[in-house]
Amino acid sequence: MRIIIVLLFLINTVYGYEPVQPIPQKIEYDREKAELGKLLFHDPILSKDNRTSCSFCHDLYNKCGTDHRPVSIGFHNRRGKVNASTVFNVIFNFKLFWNGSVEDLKKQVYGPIQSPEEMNMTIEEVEERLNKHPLYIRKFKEVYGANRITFDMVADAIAEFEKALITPNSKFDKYLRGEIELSQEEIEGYKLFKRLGCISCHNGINLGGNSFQKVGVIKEYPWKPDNPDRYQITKKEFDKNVYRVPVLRNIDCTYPYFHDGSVKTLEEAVQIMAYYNLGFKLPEDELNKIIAFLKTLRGEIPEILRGE
Amino acid sequence: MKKLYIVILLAVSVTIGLIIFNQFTKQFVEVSSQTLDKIKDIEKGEYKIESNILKSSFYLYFNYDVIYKAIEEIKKDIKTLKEGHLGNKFHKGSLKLIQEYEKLFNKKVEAIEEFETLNSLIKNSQIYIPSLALRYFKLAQKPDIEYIITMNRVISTTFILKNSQDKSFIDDLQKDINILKKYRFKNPELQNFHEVFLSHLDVFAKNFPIYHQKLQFILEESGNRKLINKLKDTFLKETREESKIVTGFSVASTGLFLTVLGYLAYLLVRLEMNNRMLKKLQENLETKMVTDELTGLPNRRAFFIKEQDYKEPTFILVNIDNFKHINDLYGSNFGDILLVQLGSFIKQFFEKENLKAEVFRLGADDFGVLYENLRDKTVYIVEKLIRSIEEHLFVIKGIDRGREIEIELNIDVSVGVSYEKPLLEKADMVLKYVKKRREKYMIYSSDLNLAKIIEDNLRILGVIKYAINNNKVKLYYQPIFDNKTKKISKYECLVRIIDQNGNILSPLFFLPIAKESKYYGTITKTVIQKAFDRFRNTDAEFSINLSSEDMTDKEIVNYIYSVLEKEPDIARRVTFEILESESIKNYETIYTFVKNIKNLKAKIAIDDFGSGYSNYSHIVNLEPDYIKIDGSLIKQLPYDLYVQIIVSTIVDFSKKLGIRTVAEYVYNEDVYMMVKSMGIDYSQGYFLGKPSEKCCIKKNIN
Repeated sequence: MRIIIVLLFLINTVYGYEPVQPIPQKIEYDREKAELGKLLFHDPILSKDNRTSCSFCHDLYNKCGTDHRPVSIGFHNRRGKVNASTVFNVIFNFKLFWNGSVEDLKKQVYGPIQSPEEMNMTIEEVEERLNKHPLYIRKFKEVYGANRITFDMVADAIAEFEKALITPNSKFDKYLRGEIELSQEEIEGYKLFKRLGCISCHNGINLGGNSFQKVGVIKEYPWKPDNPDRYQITKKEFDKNVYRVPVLRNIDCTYPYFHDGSVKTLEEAVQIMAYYNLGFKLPEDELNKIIAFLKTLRGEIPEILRGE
Repeated sequence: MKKLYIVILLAVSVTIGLIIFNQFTKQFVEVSSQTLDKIKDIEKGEYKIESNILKSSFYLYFNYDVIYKAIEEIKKDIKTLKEGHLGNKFHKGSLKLIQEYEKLFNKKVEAIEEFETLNSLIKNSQIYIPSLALRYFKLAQKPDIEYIITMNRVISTTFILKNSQDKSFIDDLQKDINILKKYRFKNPELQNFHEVFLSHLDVFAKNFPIYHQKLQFILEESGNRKLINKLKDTFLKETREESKIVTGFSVASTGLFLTVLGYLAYLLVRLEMNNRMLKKLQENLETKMVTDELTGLPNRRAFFIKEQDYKEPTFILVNIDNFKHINDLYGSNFGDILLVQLGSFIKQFFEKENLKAEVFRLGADDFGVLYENLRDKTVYIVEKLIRSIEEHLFVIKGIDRGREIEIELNIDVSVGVSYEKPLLEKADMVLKYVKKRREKYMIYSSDLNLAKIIEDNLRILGVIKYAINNNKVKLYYQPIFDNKTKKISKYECLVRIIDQNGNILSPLFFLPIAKESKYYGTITKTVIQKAFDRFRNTDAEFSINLSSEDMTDKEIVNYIYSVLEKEPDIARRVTFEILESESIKNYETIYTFVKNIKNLKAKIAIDDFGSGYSNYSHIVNLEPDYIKIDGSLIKQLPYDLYVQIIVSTIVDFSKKLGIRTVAEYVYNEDVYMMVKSMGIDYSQGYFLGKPSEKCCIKKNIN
């Protein structure tokens, strides 16, 4: 038994090993729930001041699910502590938040809505508001068959919507599927990406988001106590500046970079990573190639956002 | 009935129970196998994780998605198991094991995450170190051979270390790192390179031992698989225990099912037994219903059933003559024994004749014999049967005042035969006809017109009814002359009825029929009433006819008493003409009646004296005022010496007894002359006066 299983996995590797997988062109989700989630996602009713919706910090149409701000501005213009991650392709991440403190999408919804810097609501307030809202009463009745809206349903609908936010058919995915060729520069960029070891952390569908890794392996990266790193959870010295690996999908569109949004350009971000984890900045031509490769990761706008 | 409902209820509940049990078993098997599959899935998942960890450690870079997906699957399976089937009370052991396993697995996941971090760290440096080393040659104008050699050795050590996973090479690495650390370069770029290079080596030196340890832990020391195997064994053991419940339930419900089935069978058997008993009872009843109790022969009811089976039946109806007299003479017990003997005699007769016949007792002394066809032999059979019966000496034992006596008896029978249905009715008709005609037997045929006679009787009965209701009962009066004075002495009242068409009917036609009906009493009363009305205002005497039936009818008798008492003036003038006949059974009643009306001053005449049945002793006892000599004698009087002797004897003894005589039927002068010469006191007849409605001498008012 054991031998057979091991053999099977070895055979699996024989026909070609590729550390990055294309985003599936379609994902299964409950359309009704997702549409309801979409409505909620864009509705400021979920925030205390009725001004802040999820989409306030995760602009799906223009900013690839981010807000292009270093740190988000939430309730009463309070500034958050961290850079807003994109909500695109989150379904492929193994955990959520910079330090992976949240297990899944549904649980994630509880965070920002109750956070004082973000939407500053309580679960009860949300339920009370929605249960007074004729449209939502009707919609939830249709979708969940419930007479009373609960927060769990709200989280479920939003999570279902976020599940649908995938950006397939990027140039790179098409290349992986053998549909097109990349340019010489882009190919060389991808090879450099592997040769320089970036791939050892940025792998999988999302080129990241599937393990915790350290920034500042070779050169020490400055550490601050309020960094949203693994140390906040484990309190192990080793986990200082260990983050869930950022996702590189649509990376040219999700600026500014790093957990504090302190890095404005992609070039700068690549060089910082090279400096801290390799010891040297990259020469101009190598940088250009890597940037060219990274730009092939821009996918299509999610299907659920189209046609509107 | 109650039991039946209980059985039905039981059957329904057992059926429902079996269905539920079936579902339960199915679900049990399904859930158990699903649970086992999940446990096996976890085991497979463990292998999958391990093989992928191995791969990720082997390859320079790896897709970590594969690992976290496998982890998620196991987590999902654990959750399913914990919240699912393992939650029931039989799987407490398994639940504990899965909880234990979850803890272990979470630890393993933690180790995997740490491993991934270290793996990437080490791989990152491992990939980079060779190209980094090349920088040295670019930067150093005069490369230090020893530095290069050490650098080379260090690079190869990292590869050996990484690919062999042999910790002993760490010392070699550390030794060379220490050698390299002694180097200082004046060129700041070279110095920077040197420091970066050392940093990468440090990544190896510092992290590899932990990395190695994590890998060992994940692959070999976590003990997860052992736990999973234990879980599998425990679960199977528990499931065997659990299945005992299912088996127990199965045995119980099958047992219950069989019990209900058995009970049902018992009820059915009992039902069948009851049915048989009922059937027997019914048969018995039926036999009784169609059997005559006294003779044991099939009865009248049986006859009506059996007669339908015959296509060309011959039916013989046998009736004992004067059976009533036999009963009166010897008692009904005797009669009963005679009937039994006659029944078996008839039966034996036909057996001896070798004739397949059925013998029935149809009524009191009516026996019926039924057989198929043989009509050409009917006369022979019937005559032989009658002869045999009448020649047979019936010996009947009886007890008389404590003494056993034997009576020997011959009986006479009459027979009616019919071939046509309705057999009994037609045979009965001819039998009555036979009795009237005093013959022995007769075969029914439509020529006999018996039906017409019956029809006529019915018509006459209708006329009687009509006459009574419409005051059409009339009286005719015939004068009776005193032979000495030659004047009318009195009138005889004669009854007539008038039908719907105005025809006048004589009593000859309607009285016999009226006697059999309820109208007879009414007619008598009407006659008495009308006669009294007619003669109330006269001085004339008159006579009214009374039959023996009238005199024994209490109602009529009392009526007569009351009118006589009420009107003594009329009572003095009335004479009741009574008929001596053999049908008088109780002379005492008659005597009493006669005595009573005599006391009320009415007179008595004996009618039709000298014809047939005449008993002198009775006449003496009745002490009549008149004797009316029968017309059949009077009309022969002038021409028959023998009759003259009889009549003179009657006249002679009447005179001696002080009874006056009346001659009826005086229809010519010869007779009249003879009557007068013989000393008869009164005369009556067509020669002297016909009956008519006209009457009579008005009251003589002085």
